[in-house]
Amino acid sequence: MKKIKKGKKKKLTLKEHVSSALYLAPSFLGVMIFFFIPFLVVIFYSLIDNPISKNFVFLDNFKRVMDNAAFKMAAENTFTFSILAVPLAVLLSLLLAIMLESKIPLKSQLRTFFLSPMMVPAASIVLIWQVLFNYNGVVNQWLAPFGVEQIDWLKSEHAQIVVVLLFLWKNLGYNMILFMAALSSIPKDIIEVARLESASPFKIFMKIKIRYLSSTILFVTIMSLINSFKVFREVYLLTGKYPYNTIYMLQHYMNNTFASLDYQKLSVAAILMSLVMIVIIGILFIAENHFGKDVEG
Amino acid sequence: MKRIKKLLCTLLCISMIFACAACGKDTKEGDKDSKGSEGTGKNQGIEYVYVPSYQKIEVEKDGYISGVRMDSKKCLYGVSVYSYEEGTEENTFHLVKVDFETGEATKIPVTLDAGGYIAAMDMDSEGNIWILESIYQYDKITYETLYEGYYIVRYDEKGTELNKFNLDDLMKEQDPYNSYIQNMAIDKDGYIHLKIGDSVICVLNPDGSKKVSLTASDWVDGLGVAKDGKVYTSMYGMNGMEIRPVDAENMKFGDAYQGIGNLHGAFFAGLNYDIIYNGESALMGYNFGDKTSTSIANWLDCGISSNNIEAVAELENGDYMLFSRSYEGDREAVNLIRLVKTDKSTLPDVTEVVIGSYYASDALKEQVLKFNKENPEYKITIKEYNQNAITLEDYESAIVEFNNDIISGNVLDMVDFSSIDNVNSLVSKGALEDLTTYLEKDPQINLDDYVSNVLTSYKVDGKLISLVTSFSINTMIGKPKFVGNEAGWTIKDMVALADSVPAGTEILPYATKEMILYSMIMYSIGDFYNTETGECYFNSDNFVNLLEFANRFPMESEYNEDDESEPSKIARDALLLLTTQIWEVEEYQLYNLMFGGDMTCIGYPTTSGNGNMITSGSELLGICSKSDNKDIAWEFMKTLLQEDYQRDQWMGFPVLESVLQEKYDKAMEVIYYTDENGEKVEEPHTTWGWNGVNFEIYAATKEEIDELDALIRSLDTFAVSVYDEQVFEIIQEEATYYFEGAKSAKDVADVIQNRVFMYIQENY
Repeated sequence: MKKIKKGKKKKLTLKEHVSSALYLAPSFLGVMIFFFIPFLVVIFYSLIDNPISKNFVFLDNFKRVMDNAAFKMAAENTFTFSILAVPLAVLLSLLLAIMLESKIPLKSQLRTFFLSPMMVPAASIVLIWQVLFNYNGVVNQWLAPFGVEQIDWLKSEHAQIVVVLLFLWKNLGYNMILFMAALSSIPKDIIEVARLESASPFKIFMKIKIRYLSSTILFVTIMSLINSFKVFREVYLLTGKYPYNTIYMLQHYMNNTFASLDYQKLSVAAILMSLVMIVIIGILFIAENHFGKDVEG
Repeated sequence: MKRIKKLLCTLLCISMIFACAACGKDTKEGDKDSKGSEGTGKNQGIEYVYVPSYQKIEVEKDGYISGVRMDSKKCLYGVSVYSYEEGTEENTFHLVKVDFETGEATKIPVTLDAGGYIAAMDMDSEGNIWILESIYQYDKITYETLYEGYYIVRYDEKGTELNKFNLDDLMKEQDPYNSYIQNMAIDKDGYIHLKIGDSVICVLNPDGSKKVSLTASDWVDGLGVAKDGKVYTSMYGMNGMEIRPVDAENMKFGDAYQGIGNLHGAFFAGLNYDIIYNGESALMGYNFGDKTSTSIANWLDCGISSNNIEAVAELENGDYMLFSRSYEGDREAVNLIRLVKTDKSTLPDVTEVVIGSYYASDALKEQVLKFNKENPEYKITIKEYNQNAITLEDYESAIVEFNNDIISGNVLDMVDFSSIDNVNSLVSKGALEDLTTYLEKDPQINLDDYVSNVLTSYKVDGKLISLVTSFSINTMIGKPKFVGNEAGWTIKDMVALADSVPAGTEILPYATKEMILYSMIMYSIGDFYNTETGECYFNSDNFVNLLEFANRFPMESEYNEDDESEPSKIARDALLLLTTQIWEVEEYQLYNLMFGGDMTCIGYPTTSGNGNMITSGSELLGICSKSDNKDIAWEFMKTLLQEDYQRDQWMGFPVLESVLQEKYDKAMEVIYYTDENGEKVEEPHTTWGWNGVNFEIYAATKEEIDELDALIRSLDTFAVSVYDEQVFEIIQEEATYYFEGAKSAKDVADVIQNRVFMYIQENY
């Protein structure tokens, strides 16, 4: 066997190329078949007039969808919800994690308490939320003594607040656990040194802990973004296919266009949404790279 | 060491690849997954189908067949002959045994008691014949019941009586209102099982004494013997039909076998299957071991009507024997049909045309059978999507599969619209042919021969997507003094009428808030939105007023059979309107009489034109635009316009002018009877009654026929094409808040406007 000289890259032989390719082939084929090719099919559907005649119409479908009031409303609502809910989910779960990492009583019970919403099935969540936020529900009854008029929470401008609360209630526990694990993995000696150097807790947090948490923050943000789309399931069960316009999301649009066999609109909406996601996640990766580079080496 | 690791990795990869290649269940004969249509199978590369071969069974004049039983070697049935000549009445009975190998029919002389007939029959493992004889004897002068009861009689193969048990004592223990013995089965040990009433299974010892009586928690559908020689019952469980063994030793029903699919009524012991049965669309086999149903032979593929199959047997050579009974005229047409297992490659090629349907009606299947018989070079098959659906997920999967098959364009040639609700989506995708060109180009079709305004009424976005081959009139009826003489009115007119009559006058019978709302906007909902501009007007004063009007009525209404009848209320102007569907000339006459001989079919309120709607009475078929067999599909559709099909329609008016005229002529035919004085007296065609109010419908007058005909000619709207279920769902959901007093009409209208706007814009 050849000794590899330090600093020099060994060139792979053809045989090694072939054997590498063979080992990679199953995974590669899987990704192609289940991700890449379907995406190409979606792009194809977005460029034709309908699945029957399959006439190429280039970007006409894109223009039609982007001019469509329902799509615009859905995109706006989805964006607003994500901008509101995701940072809140990250910040609040981080705060909770810090709180539960400190010396407080009933830590274990509190942890269980925050994690328990994850185990509740969607149908039960819907039932609880209906009881709470129905026009004649518990929340209105609590507010009535304070002179607040009955609010139709799910069919008014306040509907987004309800959905944000639902999202936070369901996902804080999971994010909190991720942050707790990340916090416990921060090297204690660096923090000791910082304390000895008379650094305040706030400075320790901002200068040391945040850097070590950067990859977890990125992960939690991406997961929260993904979970923010999954909240559609509960919203659909609560309000049906056509809810009040403030909680009419992109997923409603896509679900309904699928049901009405309008695969062109569905494909266009999916492509536009994925382009936006690529940009957002790209920004997040750049940010993480910047803040976390010195701790990741 | 590295070489060993490399070898290990290579072996692991190869084993993974093999594992993927081996995925999937083994195909077996008759399995739906095997290549070929349902009901075929592959065996060593040969694809098999079942080809029917008929052996007619001659039935004597006035003869009636009862008590059919078959096993793998023979068929046994009873023949009762009733003859009435010169005032005398004679009943004779005998059994017939048909040997499947030789085809010979042998008469077995068996005598029943006077007044007796076969209620059930079975054969035991020794070849003996067991008959459950139901006896009803009455005095022929006073008609007083002299005796009513059951006997079980055991005969040998030659018809010699071996045992006879009277069941009077057993029947005394049963519920007198629910004690009809419907079925009998003999297990391999000679125990007699009887199904009594809805849910009682009584087991008798071979000597006729009672062993045990079991009562099921639910209605027992069928009773039969399986391949293991034990007796099983079929009943509805939580997840559809299930089979349970009768465990007489432990005095209970055994554990349920599920996944049985469409089993209704009789099931029989198989040779390769534990049980075989008529599964509505196919001959099915079920095994208790793997709890799966297998489709053995699709009835349509075999050219057989499933309604006529009374018994099934599996033969040792793989063929199946069916006992089929139908009527030709006034005589029974009975056949033994042998399904012969045949290599498909030996059969002539046929062009297959597929109709997609959620659930095909018997009438459609009969028409397909007839077309296939008359056109052997083609074969129309029906792909039923809901056939085995039990849970909600099954139904939803069926919808997705159906839509995908239409959109993909390579599975279906025709679509049955009768039970689908996304027709508009299909039209907008260009999935369906415009039948206007077919009608125009076909030299055999002359639109003047048809009620063309109805025939071509089912249009979506200007495209004729189906032909309406029989129809009813969906209308609202009132007296001219209230609604005027001409059809067509608006929501405002209806509200004005309600405001003009004294308090307490009923607008519609048992009217509730929801019913009034529904009636007023059912066919005028399109007036509140514009799909071309994407605008909605549900927050307009018109809609708010409509909600307020509907709110005047009670939330619920309870029917009480002691209440005054609707005709009586109409007669004294206490009830103003009725909504109804008119299917027959007699119904038109009935409503005319009800409204005092002067009625206006005003129709449902709309803002434009005619509120009288066309509803289809039969299949609605469309042709898929991607079909390669459009011409054949059109030829099949044309058969629905032929005279014999039009004449056989029992629901609705035919669209063929000549047959419609025949209906009119029959309605105008005066029927007489001779009274005790020998005089001819006109007899009514039919009589209708409500709580003591009776209407006798006599021969229609020319005037009535002309009025009805004018109404039919005025129809121009097909009901389904103007009704939007999604919009109505939203309205219904939100209006409830107003009707319950939770919100104001304006708030509810605003929410409806908001939600419907999203719906309209999404589809804009």
